Amino acid sequence: MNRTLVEAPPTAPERYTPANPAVWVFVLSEMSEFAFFFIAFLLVKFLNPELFGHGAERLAVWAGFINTLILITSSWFVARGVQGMKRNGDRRRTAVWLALTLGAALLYCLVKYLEYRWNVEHGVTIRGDLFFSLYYYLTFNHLLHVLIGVCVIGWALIQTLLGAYDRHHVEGLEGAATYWHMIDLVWILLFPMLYIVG
Amino acid sequence: MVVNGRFLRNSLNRSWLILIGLTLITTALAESGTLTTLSIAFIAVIAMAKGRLIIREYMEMKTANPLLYWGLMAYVAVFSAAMALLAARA
Repeated sequence: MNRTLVEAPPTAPERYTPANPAVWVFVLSEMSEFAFFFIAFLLVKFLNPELFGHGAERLAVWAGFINTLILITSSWFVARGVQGMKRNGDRRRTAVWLALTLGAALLYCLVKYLEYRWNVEHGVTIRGDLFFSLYYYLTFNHLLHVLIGVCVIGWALIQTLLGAYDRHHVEGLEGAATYWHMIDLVWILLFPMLYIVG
Repeated sequence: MVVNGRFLRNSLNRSWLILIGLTLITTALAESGTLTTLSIAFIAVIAMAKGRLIIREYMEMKTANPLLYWGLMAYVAVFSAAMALLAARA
């Protein structure tokens, strides 16, 4: 008697959400905070279109551009660090990627400092008008989040050097990476909103 | 760093190169002069594409909880679209 071989139905791809739920609550609350800032910016722009017409033209686009490149690259560094740990548990290499992320973050802060100094030299101050007030409020708030991110990545780096992570225990590292990517994601919206479209 | 075949086989490396390229396009558009409605729409689409890459590749959300994944995608799409609509109105 011929036996018919019944193939097992294809299984759906396994669901996997990086980092633990507590990290996601934190990340989503931070994103909600920025969502309110975006809404405030867009609402003020809707009510005062004449004020926002030429605001972006007076900002240092070069600084926004350089910081976008820095943040994108820093996010790549973190992602490579997590990937390295997950693939082969290479702590040393992950530590190097995280150290590079910290270096990029400090470079971001330096560019932000130079940008604010350039602004003052060109008469772009927080009391200029509503556009510039919102620009300072949004970018300074983002800078504060970068500084929090520096602490988070710094902690992940120390934990990596202490051997707290391996191929199968990466939740803490993923949490730090998720926070850093959130900072990058918010900047991806801030850059065109403030520096390009205005 | 040499961008060779081995480098490009890693999706994180490819994403990084694409993100850098998209940022260059956005800035080139801004520096090219007055923005038209079409160029503003293009900048918004670029922002969405960059957000999608970060969410899917860097944040590894491709296989994550769909609610979380689509929530993040909607976040980027809504604010990019709102930015473009308001700019086009002005």
